[in-house]
Amino acid sequence: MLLKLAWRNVFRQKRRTILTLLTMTGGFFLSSLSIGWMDGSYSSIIMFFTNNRTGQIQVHCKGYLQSPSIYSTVNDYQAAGVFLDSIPGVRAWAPRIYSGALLAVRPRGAGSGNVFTNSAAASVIGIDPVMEEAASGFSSQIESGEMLSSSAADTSYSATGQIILGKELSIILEASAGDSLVMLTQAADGSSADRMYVIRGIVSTGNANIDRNTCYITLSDAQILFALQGKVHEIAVMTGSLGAVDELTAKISAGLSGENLETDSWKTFAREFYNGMKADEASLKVMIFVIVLVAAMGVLNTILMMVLERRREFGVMKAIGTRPGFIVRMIVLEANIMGIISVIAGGILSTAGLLFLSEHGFAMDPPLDYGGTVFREMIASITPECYWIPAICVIITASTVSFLPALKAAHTKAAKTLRTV
Amino acid sequence: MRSLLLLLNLSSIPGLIAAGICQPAIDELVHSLDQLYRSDDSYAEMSMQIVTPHWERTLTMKAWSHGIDKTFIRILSPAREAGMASLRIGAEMWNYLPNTGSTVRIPPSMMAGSWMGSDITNNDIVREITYAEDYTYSYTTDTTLTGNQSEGVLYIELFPKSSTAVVWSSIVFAVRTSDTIPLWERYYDSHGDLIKTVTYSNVQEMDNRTIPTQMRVIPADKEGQSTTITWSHAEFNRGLDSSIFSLRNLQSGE
Repeated sequence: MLLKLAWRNVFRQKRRTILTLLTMTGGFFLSSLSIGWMDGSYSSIIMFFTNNRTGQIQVHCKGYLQSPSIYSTVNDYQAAGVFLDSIPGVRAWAPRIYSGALLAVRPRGAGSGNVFTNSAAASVIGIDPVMEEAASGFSSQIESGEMLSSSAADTSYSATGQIILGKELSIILEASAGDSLVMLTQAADGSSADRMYVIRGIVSTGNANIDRNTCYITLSDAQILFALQGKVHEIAVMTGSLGAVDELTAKISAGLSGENLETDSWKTFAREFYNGMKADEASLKVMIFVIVLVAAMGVLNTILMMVLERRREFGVMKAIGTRPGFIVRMIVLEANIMGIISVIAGGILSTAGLLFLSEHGFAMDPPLDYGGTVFREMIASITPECYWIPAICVIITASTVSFLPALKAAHTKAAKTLRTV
Repeated sequence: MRSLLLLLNLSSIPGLIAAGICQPAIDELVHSLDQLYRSDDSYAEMSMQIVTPHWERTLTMKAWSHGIDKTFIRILSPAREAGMASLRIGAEMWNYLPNTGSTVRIPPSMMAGSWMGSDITNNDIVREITYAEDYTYSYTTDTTLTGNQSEGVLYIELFPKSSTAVVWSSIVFAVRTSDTIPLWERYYDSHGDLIKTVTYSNVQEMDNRTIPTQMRVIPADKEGQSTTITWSHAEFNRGLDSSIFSLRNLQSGE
């Protein structure tokens, strides 16, 4: 009886209903799109950031993240790698060595002299060319020249090695692919080590801060140069999706717990990046709240109008003995029926909008710079949150904002209303 | 008569100092610290022992200097570093690397970096400053800086002048009153925290000069780490060939 009455009332004054439905549907649509865009943008930023560089999970010697040191090594990284290979969900892993060095090249036009005056300090990263390619697709970031391959330096201290320079570092050194380069560094046994290199390529990772002071040599070369045979500083683990990261981190951590190793997800080792995104997420939540609030005010306005317009009707209902509670329930139910219709309509519209944004995305102009990594396009993703959060907001809003007008309607004085309206 | 009086006066000064009756003029004392190892030119043979929690090694080397602006150091051992050399002319510094046969200029960004893995920085080698001209100084009785003060030791606190580019805010020297030989110096940052301690010991006469032949640098923030330089031979003011301080000599590997 109540439902039937409420359903009929909704469609009695079509113009008013359409106005309310439009407000609710608009609120749902905008909230849904914002959530989808937020999730999609952050997912793509995180995946880009982690896939290109850090991996989603990293394994280090205990304490390395707090205080990186050439001496804090993963001593049997191949055994750890065998374990990682056995875990479903691990897409690839890449061992790395980190140290620092002085790099120097001959000035332009100096011929083949032995004086290397263009010099700069740099971070040296030792990478396994094959594993790094499988993990981070390193070669796709090479702007000129080629990827590292195995060389004589992998087995001999005195041989000429291959090196890849970050783009900005190559500009500082005024060097290009094919030039000779001298590296002077200190090994983990305290000895000074120097080696001649041929610049194999120039890489642009999309992060100028990193490319300004980073160069790459092969892992085997780094192990000889830094006296770290069989050791690495980091194992970067790539997973198929972000959703599985926390579970995989726990699994890897448990499997390697006895090895004096620690396993962290990107939320820990890229904490600044993570915190920055969390802050942005909070501001977007405020935006969604404002959208819902504006929609709620609209709904409140139309329901108040409706109550005002239907004063005579409520007066009649009260006159024939309808209880105030029945009127309250009826109006709240009417608002909820409109809410449900808005959720269905908004769901259809949002799906279309999200599908479009997940295909085409928004071009960022100017591009968004996250810790030096530049993002030029943001795409939306379709997740359950895009639907259930706006749906709950719409239904709760409909129920709460209709309650006060419903109370007002329920307390209509029958005799007075019938006399005056 | 006048000469005799002067001689008597001069000869009485160390006695008065030793008795703690008077302090020497601080300008002279600071000047003597500046001149401790310096001369118009010098040649020295020395060893450098570096101790860290992870490794320990000793390098032997020869070093030449001319005034305060030219230094040349050649590593003799161990074998992996033998032939490596550093040449400093003014603020410029070059390293010769025999393994690659190359000479590399040290960029300004690496001047604060370690020299040969030791606790001595490239800046320490190229520094052309003097305590007398680049610092203000005074005697200090502050035991928070000096620790328990000993009889027969003078304590001087030096503050870099605003034009002096150093990373510490003050240096405290402990100097033996009897012969103005330093015992130790401590470097403090702007918060008053100790950065490093340098101790001097094993005072010997070398080429008619009395110098501490052992100097140990102990960084405050690296537990179990130190660098000890020991002079085994030194010559002063013998007149060095200026070609020693050249890129050609640096690259000769000799």
